[in-house]
Amino acid sequence: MKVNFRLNGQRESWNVNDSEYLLDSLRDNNILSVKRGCDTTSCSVCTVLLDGKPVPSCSVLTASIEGKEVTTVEGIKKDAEILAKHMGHEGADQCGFCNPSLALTVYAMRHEIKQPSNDDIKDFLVGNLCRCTGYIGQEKAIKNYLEEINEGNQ
Amino acid sequence: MIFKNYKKPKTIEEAYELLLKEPNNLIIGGGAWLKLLPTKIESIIDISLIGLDEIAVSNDSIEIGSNATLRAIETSNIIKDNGCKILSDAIHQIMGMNIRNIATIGGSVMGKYSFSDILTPLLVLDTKLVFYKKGEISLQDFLNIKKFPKDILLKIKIKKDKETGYFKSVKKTALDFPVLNLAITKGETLKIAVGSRPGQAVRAYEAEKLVEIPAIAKVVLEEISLSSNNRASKEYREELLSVYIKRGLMEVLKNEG
Repeated sequence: MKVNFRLNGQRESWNVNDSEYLLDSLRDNNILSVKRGCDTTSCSVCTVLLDGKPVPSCSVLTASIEGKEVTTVEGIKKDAEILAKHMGHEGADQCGFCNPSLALTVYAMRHEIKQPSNDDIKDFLVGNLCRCTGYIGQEKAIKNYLEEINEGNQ
Repeated sequence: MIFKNYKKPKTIEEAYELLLKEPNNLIIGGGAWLKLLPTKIESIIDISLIGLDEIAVSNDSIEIGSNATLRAIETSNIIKDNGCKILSDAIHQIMGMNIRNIATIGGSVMGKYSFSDILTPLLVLDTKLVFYKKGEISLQDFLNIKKFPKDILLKIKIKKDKETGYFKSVKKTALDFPVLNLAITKGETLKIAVGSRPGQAVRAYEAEKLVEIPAIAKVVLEEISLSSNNRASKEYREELLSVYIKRGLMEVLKNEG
């Protein structure tokens, strides 16, 4: 079947199997920033934004995204770079496997909540598993990122 | 789950026709647990175009479309402001936000999952289910029917009530299934439900007739059947329930004098 949607702002029309999941379709089309982790809706490393909301692409059928907007980390390049800089400063990553999903989730959070509290940050990141560094460094990096973004917007 | 065809009907009539077409056709909610179902399906039917995702309030009830996502319910002021805050609180504790963005209330109810953190609070919220063919049925009756005839859940109706409520889900991590969950409300009457026992959520009807906290707690432990599985032993669940039932009752009965 043919599915028409937007990927990072560009119109796409892909031929997919009825039973194909978005994670597989994206990776088959060389969007390799979307990682495969548990593949069963638990680890969140496959997160993409679907109409602006974070979703696990391993559990979204590609057939169901007709007419929708899919955003991967390539679609939020500037934000991802700023967050990556702060992650580096805080020593908040090692392998980087979970970073694209983290960046997308944080991006969705800052568009939903103007000034997220520490609890908001934790709420949004429940499920974004990182096996390298723990989460304190990530939390600090996210706060620094939000500060820089907010200063830039003033 | 293995399936051959994906169908996306535009009307409820079309969806129902597709559902009956093959014995193992299936309506899907958000698809969060689709991969984990050990079944072979001919066609899955996505009802997202039918528009069953509204959350609305009428004079006496709150109505939640079966295709409303858990996240939409969790963040809805209609839910929070009309005596259903324990439902928002319970949903808030379910795994991560990205899963709650796709999982739907209809999928959660129709799955009748024994580990559900949704069925337990719904059981103490005077919940009715509205089906396309069957019409209205109480959630309790629906859970009691082992093989429910093929039908499409349209919406969930919760009676508006000025209730106080308590919900506790005990998990090893935020992403885990609960070892035990407990919901209590006190509106016109006291209602208590225990889930993930590890069996499906059930009400404690005998205990609800009592007034004093120690007596209620004692009868809850007597009438609710708990057992062991690979997540926790029966004894551990009994210990958890004996503690949280008292805490919950103190919380909801604190203004009773």
